[in-house]
Amino acid sequence: MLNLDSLTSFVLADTGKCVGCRTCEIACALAHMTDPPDVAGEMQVQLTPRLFVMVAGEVTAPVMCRHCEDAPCANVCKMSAISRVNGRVLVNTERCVGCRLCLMACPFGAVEFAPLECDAEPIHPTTAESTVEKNKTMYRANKCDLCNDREDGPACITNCPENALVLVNAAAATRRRRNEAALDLLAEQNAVWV
Amino acid sequence: MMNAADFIQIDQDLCTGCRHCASICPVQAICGEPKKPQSVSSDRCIVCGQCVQICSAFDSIFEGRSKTRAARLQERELPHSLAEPLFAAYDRNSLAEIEAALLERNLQTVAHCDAAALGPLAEEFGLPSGGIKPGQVVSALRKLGFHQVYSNTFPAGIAILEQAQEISERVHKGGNLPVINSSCPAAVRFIEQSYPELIYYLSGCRSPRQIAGSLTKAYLAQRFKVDPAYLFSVSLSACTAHKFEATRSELRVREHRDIDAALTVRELAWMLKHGAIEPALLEESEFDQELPPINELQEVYCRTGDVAQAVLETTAELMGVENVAVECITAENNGACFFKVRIGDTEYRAASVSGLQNAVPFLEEMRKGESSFRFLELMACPRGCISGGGQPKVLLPERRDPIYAMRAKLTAFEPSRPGAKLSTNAAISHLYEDFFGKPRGDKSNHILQTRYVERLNGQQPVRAGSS
Repeated sequence: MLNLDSLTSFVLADTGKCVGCRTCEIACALAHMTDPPDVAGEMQVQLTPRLFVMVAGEVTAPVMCRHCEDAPCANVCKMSAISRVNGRVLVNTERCVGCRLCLMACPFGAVEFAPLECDAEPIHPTTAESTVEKNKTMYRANKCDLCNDREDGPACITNCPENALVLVNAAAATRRRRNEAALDLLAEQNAVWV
Repeated sequence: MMNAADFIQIDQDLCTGCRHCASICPVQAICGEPKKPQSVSSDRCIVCGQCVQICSAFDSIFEGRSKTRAARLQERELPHSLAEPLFAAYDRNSLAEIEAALLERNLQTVAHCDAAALGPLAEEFGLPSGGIKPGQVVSALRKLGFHQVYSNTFPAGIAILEQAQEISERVHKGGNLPVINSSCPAAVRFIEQSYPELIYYLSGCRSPRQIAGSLTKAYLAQRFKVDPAYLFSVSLSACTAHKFEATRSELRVREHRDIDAALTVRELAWMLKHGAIEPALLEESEFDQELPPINELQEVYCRTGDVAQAVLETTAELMGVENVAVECITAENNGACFFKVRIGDTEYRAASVSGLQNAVPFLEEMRKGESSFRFLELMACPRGCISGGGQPKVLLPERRDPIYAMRAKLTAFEPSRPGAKLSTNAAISHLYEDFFGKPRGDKSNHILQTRYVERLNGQQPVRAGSS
């Protein structure tokens, strides 16, 4: 199991390496299926990735959740369906009613609404009985969960053919930066003393 | 007739220009700037379909594109019931033509099945390769409406015998050696356009799939007492290049095309799903016996080395060697393996290579006249037909190796397997006595032989095998 610091971790793309092949999207969608298929023909549903490869001029990169400390999506959710657990911002699809407030609130466009894989049960059955159409496809908030249960960590990272994705651990990254800065200081001082 | 390049298309709307297809294309046929939509060069494409296999730019439901999925399915002439995601690179299909033929009451429809296509079909239905038995595939094809279903092991036996005959003829008459196996249509086209000076080395024998078709239009037509115009032959294989091969104008019996339509494993799965046929639930049934399956060849053409081994074996048999023992010199290395057999005082060596990049050193050696081989088997796809362009498309790169390994395990290499003894095979002998006369005789030439085109220098067909 991936050991996340209590400080935010998130997946970051190196735009110099990313070629925009969308393999990360496929890996993501498959990692979140209960019985992921190996071949395209086996798929009976559309791929519903939780990260999105964007092509903007010369730059391609996947965009996904940054697992914000003060997550706007969680703050705005009226159903308390989004919460921050062990450094990850997670959606509880059983509470989500598909209002799309989180989609509007996210500054990165990291939340999408995907058709639910299982038979969607209405959250308030008493009122739903009269108003919700039968057998309607239910859309629920769908966002990066850093592959919560996956032993090797996020599937997008391990499957990227270009090794363009890394898991950024904010605490480790800042410690490294400070170390580098300290070494720079030392070098500067040595230069002055000589 | 379709241009070869038309068989492979890249959807400009879906392509992100990652150029993974360009990195796997053995002939630099994919053109375009990085991160811009790519296109396929018609002069270069050999229709191997590896780009279709590797493409990962799919039609995402989150993109909100102007073109609907239904419109895209229609544009690609795919069944509207198709549920799987669509990718930028795809191969054109003949499904509409096949469906129409199956519905046409006057047509007798005949299906020919490649061994390498039978096992992997199961993957399309969520089962491991081989999870659907060959007999169940036969039943499924009958359920779709095919009147006859044959195994391509029989025409494969004929091709091996003809090529062995060709080796011994060229040895005696001092012809071009090694004989290059002509069974892989992508490799043949590669030689025609990249090594035109070597087309005289290609075996003059048609590929087993085409032989299946020419036997249908000549031999079966006579046997069934049917005008060949009323026979419709469909070839089931793992190959996209076969779609192009089937349209080659020289591969005919009189005016009748050997193969009327080529069908890949993926396309068969689409037909079955569209018809709500679940092959895993069907009873097994036998292949038809007019072209009787040769069980010893069940695995030939599935994997690197099988054909080279069988051809050497048969050559030795034809040259009167008793208790032939073909020796595998090295196991697969860089896609190549080598075989040898002693015939009289001479050691006959054969090489088998999969992946065209791996084949280049062998072809260069031949160009310099330094080749020590008598037979060279080439397979264009990286792992031979188990990795063919028409096989089920593996979604993630990291799953490709284990799945290919599963497909290959079905046809595990057995160095000590019993020889097929094709020179004395009863069914083949019967066909020759009954119908052809002798191997490489006039009648068999007309039905079994072909010619090649130097695609760089003019378009005149040249007969292969003559020196």
